[in-house]
Amino acid sequence: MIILIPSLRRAAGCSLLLLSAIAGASGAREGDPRVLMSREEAFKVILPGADRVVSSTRRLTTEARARVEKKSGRRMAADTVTLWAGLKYGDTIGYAFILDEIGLHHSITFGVGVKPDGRLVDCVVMVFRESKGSEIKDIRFRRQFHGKTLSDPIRLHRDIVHVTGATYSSRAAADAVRKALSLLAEVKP
Amino acid sequence: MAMGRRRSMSVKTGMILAMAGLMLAGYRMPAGASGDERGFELGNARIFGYGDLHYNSPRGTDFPDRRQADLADAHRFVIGVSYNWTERLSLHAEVDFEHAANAADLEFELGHIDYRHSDALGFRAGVVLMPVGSLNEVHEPTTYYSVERPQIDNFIIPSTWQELGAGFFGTISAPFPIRYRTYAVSNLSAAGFSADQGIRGGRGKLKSQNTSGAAWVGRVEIEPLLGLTLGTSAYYGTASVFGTANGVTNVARLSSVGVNLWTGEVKYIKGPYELQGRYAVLNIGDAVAVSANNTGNDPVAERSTGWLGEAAVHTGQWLFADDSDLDLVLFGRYQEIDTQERVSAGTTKNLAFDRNITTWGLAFFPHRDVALKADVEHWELSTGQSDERYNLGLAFIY
Repeated sequence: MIILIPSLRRAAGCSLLLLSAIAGASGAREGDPRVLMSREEAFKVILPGADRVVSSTRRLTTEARARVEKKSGRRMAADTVTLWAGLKYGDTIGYAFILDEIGLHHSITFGVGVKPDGRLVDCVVMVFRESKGSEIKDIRFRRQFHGKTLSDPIRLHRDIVHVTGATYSSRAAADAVRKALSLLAEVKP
Repeated sequence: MAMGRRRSMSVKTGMILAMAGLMLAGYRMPAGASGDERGFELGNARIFGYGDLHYNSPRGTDFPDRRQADLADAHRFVIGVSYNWTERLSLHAEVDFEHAANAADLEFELGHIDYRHSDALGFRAGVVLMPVGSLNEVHEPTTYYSVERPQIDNFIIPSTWQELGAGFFGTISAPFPIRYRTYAVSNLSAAGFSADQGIRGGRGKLKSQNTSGAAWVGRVEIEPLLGLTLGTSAYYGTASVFGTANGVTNVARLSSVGVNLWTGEVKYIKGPYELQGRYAVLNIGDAVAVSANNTGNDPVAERSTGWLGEAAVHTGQWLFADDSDLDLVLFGRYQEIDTQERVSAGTTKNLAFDRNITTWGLAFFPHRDVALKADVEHWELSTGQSDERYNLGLAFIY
């Protein structure tokens, strides 16, 4: 299901954007209190400096999908993924994924930005459907992920401190980061 | 009697079959870029749950309940559903098939409707988990490391404690997260108060319980630093005892027994290390009248207290690969729990209900949602008696 946020409709040069479904934002409408960030707002944080964002659908081979699942420790529900590229003066300055990960009871939609060299830029919460634990959106929690690469554990009780009382939401953020880094290693142009 | 038991069995069997049918008929993986690995969706609903199996082996005869035989217990199996009518209005409910679905222990664990106006303000009504202490609301067995819940959450804070209630909840963000809940809730029944377990027996579990008036409960948690959480809870209510008077049933024979419970908690997490402390104090007014009504030999205390200190370390980063979710948690816990701290004048304390409990154990997580647990509890009573209990457990969340 494709849900278009009106502000995005006004965005320049985003015909690809309009045609691309964000599975993670499915069911989220404008005015929905669970929506913490629109796609446009998320891109400003996770693809900083980009003057244009384009998307493409990437298909994972069976082997690539297996590698993503092994590296991230998370299951992939589909063998296609939407890769967002942030451009500045035509040069790619970063990549992003919009991913759903399960919290305690509900999925949480994250926007995850990665530099072309594979270092994490940021992981923002776009749609938070749980009844508590939205503090994972705060910069003091997200800051722990900045600069992480696939060689880092990115796991609770190792290099990530979770928000107390929001263990599963915190873990979902770590899952999204690991998955985004793993995906980029496979689908980077 | 037998017919009643057959009826309860058929109701129970029907519920289980209905839930199983729903699961099989409606199962689908949620669409999306990721594969959820816990729970599953049925339209706007999400099904989830957890389970908790125990094997307890007490040693010696001084153990408080004098149990000498080992105990195998399918303690909890919970099926929960979360349903969204709209983006603001949702239902969250759980049914707990305790002790292998023993009819008396079949619990409507919780079932409330939430209206979320914003992150900072939501309205909740229904059967609510009491926001008292740090465990009563978040009690999934993979979130603590011992086989049994800490005893302070049994003898002082009667988890799992739910009441019919309504109130507000939310998280205020600045300058650091402040989470709050405040509810008006149904009152306890003083008829179940006891010397060894305080107000635990006063929970009606909403099984058509008699109640009088409303109590208030609230909780605030702050996290001034990431990893450091401070919390406090308060409960104020009046309990009653109901009986028959002049041929009229369900009359309050004893009313306005004041009950207040206060807790304070601190938790600190740094890398693989966790430290936590908890303190709780329970006051019961008119304890003499309650004791007289409850016909026990031991007095219901005017004041009960308990505290807990716990340290845990996650050894996964040293024992297992960086890209592994395997974890082995080692923990130690010390508790002092006295449900006879202050008794009414003219009554005598039962010193067996003043306990110090030291627990050592481990929890191995072969999957992050599955835990194999083993621990040993050493109990020391103020009577001078002491005993050990060895426990094995299997816990999971799905």
